[in-house]
Amino acid sequence: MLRALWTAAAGMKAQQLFIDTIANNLANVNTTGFKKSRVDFQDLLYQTVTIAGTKAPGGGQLPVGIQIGHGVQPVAIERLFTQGEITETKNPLDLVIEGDGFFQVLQPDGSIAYTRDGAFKLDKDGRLVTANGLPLEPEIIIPPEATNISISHDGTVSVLTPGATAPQEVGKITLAKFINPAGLKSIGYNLYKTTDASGEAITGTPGLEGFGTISQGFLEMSNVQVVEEMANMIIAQRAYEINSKAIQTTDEMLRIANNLRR
Amino acid sequence: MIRGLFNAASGIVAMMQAQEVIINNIANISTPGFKKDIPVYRSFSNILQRRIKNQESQARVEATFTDFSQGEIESTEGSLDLAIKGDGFFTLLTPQGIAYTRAGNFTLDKTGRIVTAEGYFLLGKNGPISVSGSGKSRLEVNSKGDVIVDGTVVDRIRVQVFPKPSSFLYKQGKNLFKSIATVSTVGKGGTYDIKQGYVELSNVDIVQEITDLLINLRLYESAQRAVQLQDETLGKICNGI
Repeated sequence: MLRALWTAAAGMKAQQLFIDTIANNLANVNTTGFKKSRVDFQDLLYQTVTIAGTKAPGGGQLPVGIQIGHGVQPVAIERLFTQGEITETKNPLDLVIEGDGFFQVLQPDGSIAYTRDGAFKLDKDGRLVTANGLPLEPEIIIPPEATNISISHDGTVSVLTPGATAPQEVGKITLAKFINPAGLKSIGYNLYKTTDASGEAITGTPGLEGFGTISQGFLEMSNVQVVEEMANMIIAQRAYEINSKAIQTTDEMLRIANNLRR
Repeated sequence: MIRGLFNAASGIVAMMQAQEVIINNIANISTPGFKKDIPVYRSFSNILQRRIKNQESQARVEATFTDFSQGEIESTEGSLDLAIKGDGFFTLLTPQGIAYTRAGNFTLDKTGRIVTAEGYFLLGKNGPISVSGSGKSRLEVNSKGDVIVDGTVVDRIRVQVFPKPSSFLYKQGKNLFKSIATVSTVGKGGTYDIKQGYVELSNVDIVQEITDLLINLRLYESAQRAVQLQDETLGKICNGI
């Protein structure tokens, strides 16, 4: 009897999670390198009273059975690693990856994290670091006297120093890719960590085997489409509403049942 | 006399069961590949015949009919989001054996096999489809279900067509359907197109469901009035005569 109430409540909870995810996508609409998430739902278990195709009590075959479902549950919040929009910044330390690769950064605990956010800066030692101060891995140090930094599509970093006639190579950026990037764990600060589901990182030279090429002077914006999120928000709100109506209707039915005996 | 009371009460029970089925549809309005259930009441002629033959003639939900009509198809850009337009189901390998689904939101596992969010394998011609070592941007799936990595066909998605799915399939939860018959006996036929970058949404129609909900509520109310009238009549008999 109360099953209908729980089923509708599960529906409301699912839509609440849907809204939460949309809100996080919208909040990060201007976050560089942000990848939007999506909630995947699935139906819950069914109470099977009779199965279609089995023998009916009268001897015939049941054309359809009776199955009563118990609602819905979220099964995954999946990140969609599609390319975000690319904007030009003309800043020589702003890098964008066109393709599936990730930049590797060294965390204070010595482990490697991965990011699509290519807004790099220099720290006091001349190292290329993220906005949070995490150095790029492998480490690239720009000499203090360098006047012009150029980064090629394959990740080679060269600088011009006063007195030198030709640019001098100071390092090479390597990228990482994953068989299943959707399995990466987000740890905030635009960073991801590997998990058992993502597989180990495969590192390599930009431009080769699907790593993507690096372009200097550009940034990758988020891949959140505001209009799409707004449409999803409307859908989620209406779905939430109809689930609450379902609770109200069931409540009304229970009231009627309670009034059977006046 | 007492039978009338039971018959009216059976309407209340049947309507509550129908309510549970409708609400499950509503709860799954955002579930990809979900197919709605329609409660089927025992027909009026059936009840009338039973009444004439002096058999039990109560109202009840006799079946839940799963409506396998096409759900709307939404563009998602994901290279592993696959939607079936037309007949057929994706064939999955689960720990409990073969299952079928219309939910095409797949991902890769760490070894490059195509899996559902629960980790069930999508089957091709020879077992789970593996696209290992490929960058995801070069993965293509054509309308026949051929999985193409870097221009070479690696496998073809096994799509199982059931001419009458409602007679063969029952729901298992987790977006899965199980077949009661072996695949060789269900026959062939049916046409389908696989669309890459799309997901099939549930085929639940919000207007239809809210209407059913209200109709059901009023039927429930009528059944309650019927019980009360029977009760009043009994009361007259007991006290008035």
